[in-house]
Amino acid sequence: MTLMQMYDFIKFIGDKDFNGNFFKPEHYKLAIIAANIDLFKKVTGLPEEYQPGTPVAREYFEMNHKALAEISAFKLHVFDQAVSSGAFAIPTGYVYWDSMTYNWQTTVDGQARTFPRPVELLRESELADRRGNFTKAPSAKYPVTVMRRNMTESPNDRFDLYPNTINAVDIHYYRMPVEPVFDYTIVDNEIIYASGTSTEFEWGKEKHMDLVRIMMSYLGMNLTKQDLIQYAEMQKAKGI
Amino acid sequence: MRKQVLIEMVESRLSGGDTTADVKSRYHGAIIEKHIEAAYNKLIRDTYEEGVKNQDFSQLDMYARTFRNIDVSDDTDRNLKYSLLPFPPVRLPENLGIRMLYPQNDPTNPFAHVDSNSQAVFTVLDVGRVDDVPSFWIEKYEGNVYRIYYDQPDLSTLKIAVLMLLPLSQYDDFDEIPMPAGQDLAVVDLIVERMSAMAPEDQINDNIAKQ
Repeated sequence: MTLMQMYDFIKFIGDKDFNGNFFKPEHYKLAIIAANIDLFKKVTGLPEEYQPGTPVAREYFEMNHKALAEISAFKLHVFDQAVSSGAFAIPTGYVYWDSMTYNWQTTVDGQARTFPRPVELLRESELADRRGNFTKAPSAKYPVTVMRRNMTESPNDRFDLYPNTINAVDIHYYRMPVEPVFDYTIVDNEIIYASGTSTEFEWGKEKHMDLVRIMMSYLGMNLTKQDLIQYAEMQKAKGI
Repeated sequence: MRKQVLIEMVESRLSGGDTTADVKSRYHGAIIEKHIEAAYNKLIRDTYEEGVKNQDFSQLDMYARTFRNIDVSDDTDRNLKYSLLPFPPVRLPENLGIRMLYPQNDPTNPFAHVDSNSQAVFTVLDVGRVDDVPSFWIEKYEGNVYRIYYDQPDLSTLKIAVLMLLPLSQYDDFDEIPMPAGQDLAVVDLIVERMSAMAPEDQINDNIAKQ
C-alpha cells in the first residue's frame, strides 16, 4: 500500500471523508513517522513484555524465518571493516547489534584455512574478568569486543576489539527504517498525493496493516474517538 | 579425532545445535578444551592402570611422540650434564611419562631412569654401577622448565631424542588426538555431564553481587 492508500483506508475505517474533519494530513504526516518507529520497536522486541529475570519479548529479532524476512531489509553488512589498533568507529546509523565475525586464518594439515569466528560482544563489566582469565582470555580464536561511546580519543564512539592484533572484521547490524514522508498538495479541497517527493514505508507489504492499526490508535486518540481506538487495539492484539 | 572436533562435539551436545555468542560465553571453547585435557589425562592414567594389571605398558606408546635434536648442556654448579625437556612431562609412577630417552643416533641403547635421590645411595655402594648404561632423572626448574640430568659426564657431543607422552595441551587445534578405540565418546559424555551441571550464570549487570 502507498501512503495515500493507507490514508484513504484509515478514513474509510473511521467512516469519514476529507471533509468530515477526521484528521488533518499534517497529523497523518506525524502519525506515519510514529508508526514507523513503533513497529520497529515491536519487531525488535518490546521491553514492556519482559518478565523479571527473563528479558525476552514475544517477538524479537530473527526469532523465526518470518521475523528474519521482515527485518532483513534493515540489516546492514560491512565486510572486511578495517580495525586500527584494536578499534573502529561505530558505523553511522547503527542501532542494534546483530553479529561480528573475525576471519581467523590458521593452518590445517599444512593447508592455509580461514575459519570465521564469532566476536563476542561483552559488557564493560565482563571485559576485565575475561581479559584477566588465563584460560578464556581473548584470542584470535575467541575474540571479544565492547561498545564504547564518548571516548576522549578518536574514534569517540567505537568498538574496541581484543586481542588488538585483529586488523579486520565483518560486522552486521540494524539501522532504523527510512523515515516515511507524506507529501501532497491540496487542489480544490482535495488532497493530491505527490508520490515523487514522498517516501513510502520501507516495510514489506505484510506489515502495512500493522502500520495502519498503529496509526489508527494515534489518530483516534487525537480525536478521543474511543470506538476507533478500541477497534485498533483489538485488531493489533489479534494481528489481523 | 581432531582436538577441535572434540570441542565442537561437546559444544553441540551442550547447546543443542548452532550457538550464538551468548551460549558460547557459558560453554566457552577454551574451558571445554581444558575439560578435555583433564579427561585425556584420565585416559592416560586408565591406560597406565591397565598396564599395571597386565604388566604391559606398551599401550602408553599410543600417547607418545618423539622429540629429537635435544642438546646436552653443562650445569657447572653441580658438575652435571643436563638437557631441557620440550614441555612438562606427563606425571606417572616410575616416570612412565618418559617412554624412552636415547642417543639420537643409537635408539638401541636407551638411558635408564633412576630416582632423583638414588645417586646418593649408589655412590656409597661398593659397586655403584653394574653396567655402562647412562641413567637420568628429571627435575623441575624455574618456571615451567624441566631438566633431564645425566649421571655420566661425557655426553656433551650427543644429541638426545626423547619419546614422551604428549599432554593434550601440546596438540594443535587441528591435530588428530590418539585415543583408545571407543574412548572418544566417553570423553565427550564425561565433559557434557560435568559442564551441564555448572552453576547458573549471573548474566545481568544489575549492581547485585552474584549469589
